[in-house]
Amino acid sequence: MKRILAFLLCIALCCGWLCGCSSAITMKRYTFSCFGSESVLVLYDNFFGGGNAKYQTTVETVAEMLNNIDKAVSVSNADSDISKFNALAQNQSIEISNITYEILTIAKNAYEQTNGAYDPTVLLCCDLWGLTSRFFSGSYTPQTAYDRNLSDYDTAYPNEEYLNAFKGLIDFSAVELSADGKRATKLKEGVQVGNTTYYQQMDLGGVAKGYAVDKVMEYLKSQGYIYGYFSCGTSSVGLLSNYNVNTEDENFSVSIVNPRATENSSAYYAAYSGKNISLSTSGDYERYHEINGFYYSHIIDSSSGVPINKPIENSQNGLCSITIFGQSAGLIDCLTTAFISDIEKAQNFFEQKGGYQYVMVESSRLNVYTNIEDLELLDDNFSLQD
Amino acid sequence: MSLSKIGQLKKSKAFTKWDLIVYTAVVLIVVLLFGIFVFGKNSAALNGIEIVYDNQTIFTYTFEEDNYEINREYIEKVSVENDQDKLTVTVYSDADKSHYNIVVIEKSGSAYMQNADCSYHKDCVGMSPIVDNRGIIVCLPHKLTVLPLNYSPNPTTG
Repeated sequence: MKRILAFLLCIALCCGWLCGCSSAITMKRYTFSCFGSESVLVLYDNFFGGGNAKYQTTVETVAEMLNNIDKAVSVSNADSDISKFNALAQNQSIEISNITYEILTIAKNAYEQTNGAYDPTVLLCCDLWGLTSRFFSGSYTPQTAYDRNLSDYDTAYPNEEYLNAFKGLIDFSAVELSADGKRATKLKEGVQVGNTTYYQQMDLGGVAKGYAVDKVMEYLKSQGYIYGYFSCGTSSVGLLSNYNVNTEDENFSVSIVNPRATENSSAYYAAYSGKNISLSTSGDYERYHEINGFYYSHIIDSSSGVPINKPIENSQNGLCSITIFGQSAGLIDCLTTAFISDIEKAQNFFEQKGGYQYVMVESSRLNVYTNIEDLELLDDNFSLQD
Repeated sequence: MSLSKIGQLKKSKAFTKWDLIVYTAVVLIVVLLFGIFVFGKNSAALNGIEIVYDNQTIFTYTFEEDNYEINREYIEKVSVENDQDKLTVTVYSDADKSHYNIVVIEKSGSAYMQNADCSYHKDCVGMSPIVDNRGIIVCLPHKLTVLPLNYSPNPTTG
């Protein structure tokens, strides 16, 4: 009798265990295509029963949020607010959505905090250097008066007349927002080159990803999600807590892409351990041209109109990678763009403001500057500096 | 119950040898299964490769069993060359098979994007090979992701 009871106990234990498994936390990963890149939502939750319906609603809501942001500010969508703004002449204005207003407000804040180092009105200069997305789509054909053959962008600088003209259009203070947040006006005077008058254009692509991370994280928290993360094109990431059945450590290990990765080196140069924080990374290694062995990346110096890492005295200038950690992904997205040109300027800013963590890699010597004590270096070619 | 029966019960042992064997076996089974399912998870070693197209798993391969499966709905889009030391998986991202990604899975335990016609720079072809459960290769224009079967979802940034 006792043995029968023991056998039944064994069966009951197994059934209980299996039932336990069916209600356990599991992981789901979903990818979205937006802002010309892939976004990933990873969530840990109980996805059985009502949890699955909640997850489906979450995925649909996040997709709609991303779609709305993309529609508002994408420069590749002719109907977006920003495309309409870019088509305006001086003193003309357009009606803008609440999303566009919020993103422009974050951008204005960053512009002021960085004394103009972050300036999204560099779009024409970026295009002149062949660094906008149309040059990397695989279907580029010259369209404008200043366009060149694709191979020419890897051998020579752009026409100086255009460069000087487009540099003069960089001025975010000349983008005026109405007090009620419903309209944006272009105040900047146009410049003429040849028979064409060019007007100021801007691209909010960088800050839009951070804004999307902020909105998605806010939504996930409102839905009661505790574990997971949202990565918008890998350049902007929002972390909740990590769920790990093996340990009680709720930190994620965030690997940072090696900006100078080769076949023989690690794909990542450093790893950061953390949770409930947002981060943003900019680098010179994704969209760039290589002229005479030096990188000319898509981030434009707002004071000169040239790529921030243009070589100085035969040495690559600035940072090849900068990652900033903070609570507002939208703002830190702007800060990575603003400070990729200058280590000292970045360190002074972080010292004055406080509340940010950062990792920066100097282009010329791969020296790593950080205020994160437990940052793990994964590649011997990089060295930590005090 | 008679007094003699009660006396007999008092004298008898709580557990016989066979009782102890059964109980010990039960405990051992529970501990063993717990160990396998809890501590056996999340090994950093790569156990297989999954190819995902537009959020649907279309192909899986396991190294230990040297076995692959193609999602029936995508059988027309995936072709596989199975050699002794590697699998060459071609995924067509459109109906007329004019656009493709070629994924090579080395049976020694790695995978990489050999070729694709996705863009000028072919970013996915330049991505690092997958050698453990953290690696991932993404071809955005073709909505294709190559990732470990036991993917560890720690984020990356760059």
